[in-house]
Amino acid sequence: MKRGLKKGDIVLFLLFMILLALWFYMRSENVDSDDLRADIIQDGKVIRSLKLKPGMPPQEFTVERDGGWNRIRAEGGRIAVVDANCPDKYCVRRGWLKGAGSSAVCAPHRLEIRISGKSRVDAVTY
Amino acid sequence: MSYINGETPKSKLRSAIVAALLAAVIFWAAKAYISGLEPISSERESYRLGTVVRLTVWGEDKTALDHALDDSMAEITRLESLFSVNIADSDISKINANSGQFVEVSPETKEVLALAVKNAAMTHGAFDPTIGPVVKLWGIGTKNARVPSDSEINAARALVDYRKVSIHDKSGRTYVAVGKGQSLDLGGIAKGWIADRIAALLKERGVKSAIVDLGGNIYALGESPRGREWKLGLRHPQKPRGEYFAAVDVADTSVVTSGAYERYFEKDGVRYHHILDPSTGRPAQSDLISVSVISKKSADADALCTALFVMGLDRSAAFLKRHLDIQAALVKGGNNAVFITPDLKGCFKLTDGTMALEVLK
Repeated sequence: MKRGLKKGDIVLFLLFMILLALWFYMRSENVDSDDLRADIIQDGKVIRSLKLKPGMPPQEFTVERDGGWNRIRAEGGRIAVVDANCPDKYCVRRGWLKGAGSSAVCAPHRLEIRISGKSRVDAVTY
Repeated sequence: MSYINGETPKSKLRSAIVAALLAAVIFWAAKAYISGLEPISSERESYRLGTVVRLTVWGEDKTALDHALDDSMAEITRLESLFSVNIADSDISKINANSGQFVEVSPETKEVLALAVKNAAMTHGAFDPTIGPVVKLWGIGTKNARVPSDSEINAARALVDYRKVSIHDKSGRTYVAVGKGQSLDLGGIAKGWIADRIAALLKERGVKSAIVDLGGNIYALGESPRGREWKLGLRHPQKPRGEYFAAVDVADTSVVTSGAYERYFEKDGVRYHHILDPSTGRPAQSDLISVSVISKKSADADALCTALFVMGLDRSAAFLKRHLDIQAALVKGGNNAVFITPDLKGCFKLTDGTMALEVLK
């Protein structure tokens, strides 16, 4: 009787520890899988960072650099350059960015918007 | 049920201690395993080479990683100042400004040029580093983009010929000349060559895993920090940047994709894209919409990507049959059929279910 209980104790204890280890593992796997983050990068520096959530309130702001400006809008889990005074307007034509890894570049203003979050690939060519 | 020797309260205590130790070992092993999954990483992103350059490295020592990144960025800036046609005193600008005469150049310029000429010869000029006059004429990707007249196009096209590039070594110095009126544009190879160079530099610094991304021209160094091969997405030709139609599992390999979607302008309903055909002096009329080349050397991947796009499907298939060391994935316009080289079968995975896959013979 006493012996059995002792064995059971050990088994329970080990099980508990294995569960704890598993929980730790899960937690580390899920660190950044919840939300997408949009980084606004100018001259290689992140000048603004915002979380993209499906139910987020819309926000609009302008990024300026040496007389060049880009109007950026984020709403409902997506983000886009909605207007700019660059000559080619590639950044505006790029449209809405949604998934992790998506990015829009405004070369004349050295600006990039990039969405990060969990992606199934390590990098994408373009 | 006799108590054998040792079944005393003292041994009970010992068992409890053993159990606790065992649990602790499992706990720490699990923790070590988890932290082993996620080594320290560091990242730099900057606007260089006319595009976005992003370097991500993984390792054990944050300071060493940061130093390696600083030096890599400095090296990219240095090489750009040698190769760029937009920098007035670069080696390439000096060669172009003095066409018809020999100009002394750095060893790096010589190396990239020699490789460019080699790739041009191999592709019979489908890739040509002397495309400069045609690039300048169209100005695609700049605010001067326009559709030139036929006579302008013919005049520019006549100047394109890689066989007129002379590389001359004399007492430890190197001199390069192009034909009168010719001009070099290394846009189709410089990024790849620089990616190779940065990968070598990072490796030298003991970096085991890195993604060198020079405007979508990717070199995946070593293996992924997760202990498997890197999974690289091939950009989807009809979807926005960041989306892919297939993924390849690779290690110590470069992947470069060329497509007509990246830089273009529209005039009277016609789209003029940036991949110029040296033989016509116009945007390539290719039946392909996307070409990816997978190669140990990013410079070759870069140059061949452009060349295969210009060649179109049939010529590319024939070329790849002759060069079995080159791995490629081609997407045909219209029906979106995907063609891959036989050796790619094991590591290539189509992720867009609407596309059909065919293995080249």
